[in-house]
Amino acid sequence: MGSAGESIIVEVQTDRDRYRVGEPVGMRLRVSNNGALPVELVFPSAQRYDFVVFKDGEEVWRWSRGRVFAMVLGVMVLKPGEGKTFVETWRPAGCAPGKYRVVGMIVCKPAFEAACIVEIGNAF
Amino acid sequence: MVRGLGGGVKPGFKRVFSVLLLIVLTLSILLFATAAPSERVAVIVGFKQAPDLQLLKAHGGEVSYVCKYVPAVAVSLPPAAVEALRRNPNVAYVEPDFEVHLVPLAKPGPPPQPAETVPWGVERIGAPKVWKSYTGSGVKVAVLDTGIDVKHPDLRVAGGASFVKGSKSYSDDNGHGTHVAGIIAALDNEIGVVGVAPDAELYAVKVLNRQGSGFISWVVAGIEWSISNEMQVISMSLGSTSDSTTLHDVITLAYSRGIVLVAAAGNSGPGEDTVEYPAKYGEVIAVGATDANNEIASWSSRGSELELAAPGVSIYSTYKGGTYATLSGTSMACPHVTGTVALILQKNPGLTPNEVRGILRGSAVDLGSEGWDSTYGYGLVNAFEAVENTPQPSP
Repeated sequence: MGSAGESIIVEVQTDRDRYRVGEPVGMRLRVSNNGALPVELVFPSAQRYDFVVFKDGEEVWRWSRGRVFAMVLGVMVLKPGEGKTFVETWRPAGCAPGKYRVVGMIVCKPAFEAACIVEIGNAF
Repeated sequence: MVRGLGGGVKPGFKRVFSVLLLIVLTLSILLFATAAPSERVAVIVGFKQAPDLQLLKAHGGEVSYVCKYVPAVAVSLPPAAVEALRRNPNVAYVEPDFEVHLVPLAKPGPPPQPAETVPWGVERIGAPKVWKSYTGSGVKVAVLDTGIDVKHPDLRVAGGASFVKGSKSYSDDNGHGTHVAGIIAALDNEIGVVGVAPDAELYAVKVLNRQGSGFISWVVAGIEWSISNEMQVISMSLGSTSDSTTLHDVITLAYSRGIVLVAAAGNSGPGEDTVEYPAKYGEVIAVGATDANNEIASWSSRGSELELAAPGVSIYSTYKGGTYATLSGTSMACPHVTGTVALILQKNPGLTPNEVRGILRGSAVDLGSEGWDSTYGYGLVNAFEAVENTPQPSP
């Protein structure tokens, strides 16, 4: 098995960089094995990923809020070059214009995360 | 740690070999015993001493095989010759040569069921010692989970409902719910495993989807269904970091209606204050996971809300598709307590949830620090002592 720390790459993207207030934000999280050996990721529950949105350092939305997960340990094995993609949509309701930080996480132990910035405004 | 699907399976090699042997034998017999014309019968003639082939030929026999170790000969004869030969002083018997049939080769599929085993966790909590008196018969248990494999030969599902969007049936597309159900009440038959309370009445309340996740609102609906359908125990091998007023309110209602609620403490340990919801609510019994050495799993959640510990590491139980699997988690610990509650309630159905909890706490095997602690709660659930300490219903 390869070392996750050395081989795993996580990337997060949104479908656009700028959104008008009220528009849904599509988010895509990808985890891939960039190493030469298979990597085994261990998860504490049925949850595999999360998306968290921050404004000025404060959490404004979390995908897993309001969700429950089976409390069973699980694994994800990624062969060299193999990846998995997770897609979710944030539907902000009445949020203030400005810059938002979107964080995508793979919630294995230890977790991996990536972030990107979106701008929400009235003019776009 | 972690999974192995289809644990405890014997290879099919021996079975394939014996079937092949049978085919070879059958083909040999068929090759030698040429198809008899309608006026002939295929028989085996046993002689008192050495086989007399001349005698058989004299009766119109066509010899197909002369046995090496017994004085018998397979031969096809005109029917009239059979009686004549039987009367011959040198002939011991004449018997029909029975046709053998090919046994169909086993289709590839789920592995052959092992003879019934008692999983280590069920044994560890002393459940088998209770069964001569109580097996959970008649106790209604709602399993709020991914559903249950209703076709599994080692389970009996009494009913259920689905609250998962897009899924009408409460059958299990994931496997987790079936595993949990098996720990509670896998049947005591010749096969597979056996649960803590093998005769408890299982209800599959599907609140988790194929990926093993769900919305709190689905869990709320599942608890309401359990109240309406007069469940006695609700088992929840699920967790969330989100506190929900609605969920807490419906749990409080269920509790006030006399329903015992049991939940997985969570797998977010070893940090303190890591018990997840709904286990974190005061009305719910939060269960942590121990291993075969009676040690708490490193990942088992800890905190002031922890009530009991139960086996949750490398637990073998039923799985979807009529199979079996080994899984780990507080998901597996929770149903050991659920099954124990079912045993208690069969003995005394009138107990309140508070009374049931008092019995469980008082009979648990104290582990960790003396008395209650945030790692083991009151200790390892002890089904035998719990039932012993359960008073008979007052007349």
